[in-house]
Amino acid sequence: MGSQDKMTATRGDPLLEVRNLRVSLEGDKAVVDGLDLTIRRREVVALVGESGSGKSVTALALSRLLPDALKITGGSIRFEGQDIVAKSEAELNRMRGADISMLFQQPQVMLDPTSRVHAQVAEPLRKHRGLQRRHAFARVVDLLRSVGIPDPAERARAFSHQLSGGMAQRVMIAAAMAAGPKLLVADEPTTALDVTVQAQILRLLKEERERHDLSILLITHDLSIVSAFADRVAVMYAGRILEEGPTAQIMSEPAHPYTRALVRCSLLMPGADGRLLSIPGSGSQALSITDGCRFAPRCALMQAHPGLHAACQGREPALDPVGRNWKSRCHADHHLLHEGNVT
Amino acid sequence: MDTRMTAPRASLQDARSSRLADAYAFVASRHWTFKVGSALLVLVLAMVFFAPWLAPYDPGALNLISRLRPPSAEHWLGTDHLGRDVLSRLLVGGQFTVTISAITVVISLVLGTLIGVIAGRAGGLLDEVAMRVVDLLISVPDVVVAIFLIGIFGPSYFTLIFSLTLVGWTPYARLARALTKEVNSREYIRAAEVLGMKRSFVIFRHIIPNTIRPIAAVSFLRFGHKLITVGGLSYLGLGVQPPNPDWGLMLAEAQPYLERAPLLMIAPGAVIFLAALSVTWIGHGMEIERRGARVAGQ
Repeated sequence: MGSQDKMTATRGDPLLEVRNLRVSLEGDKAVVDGLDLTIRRREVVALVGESGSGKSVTALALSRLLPDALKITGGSIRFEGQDIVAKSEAELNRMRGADISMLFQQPQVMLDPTSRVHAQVAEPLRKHRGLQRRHAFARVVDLLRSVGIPDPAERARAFSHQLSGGMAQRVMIAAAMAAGPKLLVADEPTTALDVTVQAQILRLLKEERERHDLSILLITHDLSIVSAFADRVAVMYAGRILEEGPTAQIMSEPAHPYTRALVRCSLLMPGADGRLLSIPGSGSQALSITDGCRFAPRCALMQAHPGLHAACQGREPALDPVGRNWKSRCHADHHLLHEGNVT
Repeated sequence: MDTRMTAPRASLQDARSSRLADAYAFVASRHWTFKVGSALLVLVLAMVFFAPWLAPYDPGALNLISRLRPPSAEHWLGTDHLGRDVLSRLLVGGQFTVTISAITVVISLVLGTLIGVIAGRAGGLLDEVAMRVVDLLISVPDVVVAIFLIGIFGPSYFTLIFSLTLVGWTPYARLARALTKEVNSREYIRAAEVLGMKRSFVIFRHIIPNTIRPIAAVSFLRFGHKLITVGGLSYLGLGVQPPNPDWGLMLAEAQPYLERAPLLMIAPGAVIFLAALSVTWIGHGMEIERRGARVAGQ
């Protein structure tokens, strides 16, 4: 039965389709504004952006777990054809963990300090798969072994404070994967970990994808992780997607000045004055821009071409195709495409 | 292969056989007030519950010839105004006070914690209403409620427990609510929600276990308070009715003979004091640990 599912669900089928999603604070201030995002089966999509760009809010919105102050005020989130925005709380609880799971930044605080590892990993098994306590324990040990935890039967009885950060994140992955979800939303899963452990965790996530036909939405600001791991990248700024496309192209010849600046900064190469590159200004005011491109005040391209001022400050560009599966939200992307490679 | 299979099993057995040792280690690593308090409590409880076997005489047996006797080899704590053995009455007389207090504390604890946790987790109007009710009830002394209700319905186990829990749950509710607000913002609650856990499951599985330690500390402190309250109500004649023995009642009965036989009053007073002290020390020890101000002992 399971194998038949896999046969019909071929790679490339859209699993999650977010259309025109709008998430607002009280008082109707939009934090995520008209977001479009598609994740296909077995695809790893990276959502990158600065702090405050709305990427974590987007992640929480996918499971409808936004904090009280934030509300979805428009758009749709279709998961396997069903709109998550319209679902009731009971339906959402059946979906969470079973269809869509999440990983978070700090694995150690994600584990309840008063409960043992096996009890927490077993929660989704017992809830979504109806396993009894005793059967669940055996399954938990298997899961822990599959995420590369040595002595899984022993570690299953440990408390969270007895685990290292890497171990705790492996446990969280085991818990997230326990009920066999189709989509894993990983919100900066490696940010709190050592660099060496980061690579292990990312490798593990890749293995999980291969083994379980998993799609992953990876939320990060670390572009080095993106280029090693993601099939596609969506760059988010002030609640919108500015550029979206295949990782290789976006990382080498970005079609949006913001992406270009991000990639340049991430190379950590000092400029002529010996200082590291940065993007002047900050993104925190960009949400209040109503006319024109939200990145315009910080855009080097616009400043270099005075002829663009009227267009960039007058009308917001649409997210238009610039290549195969590749879109960018810029009036002047042809300038960039002529410029070619970033480095 | 073999070693792999046996290793976890062996450790399971170890865990089982060392449960007593674990309990010992648990107590041994606590604050000294916790240790002394629990030793004292074990002593008091043993005395109270084994009283029917421990008591040298029938606590109700009158002997008007040898009344108000000082301590002797026959009567270790002497006899009262009706010639009854004071030690026997003291042993048996704890049953009422200790049982009533314990039942009151347990009901208040369960009720208050549930109300507090649910209010804290639900928030909004429910939270607001529950907390205003707490504000209202917390300002009413439980002794007054007890005197009032016993005045209407007469003294009985039920009236006493009911009147003491009626306001007794409020401190737990307030504490549980505050702790729930704190725990609710923790990441592991979000992790459970992300995996699709129901509200009730999250409350019983994650919130209550993480709030229970401070609540337990408070419940021990309240237990001491209840012992004294119940003793006081008995003293006022609102608890156990004569001729049955009870600590508070013994205090009341000893009053006219304070000069001739002071031990009649000192003995039950001291026992109430020790019983209340034991649980208060336990609660105090837990409270100190919670604040992290562990006194450097060993």
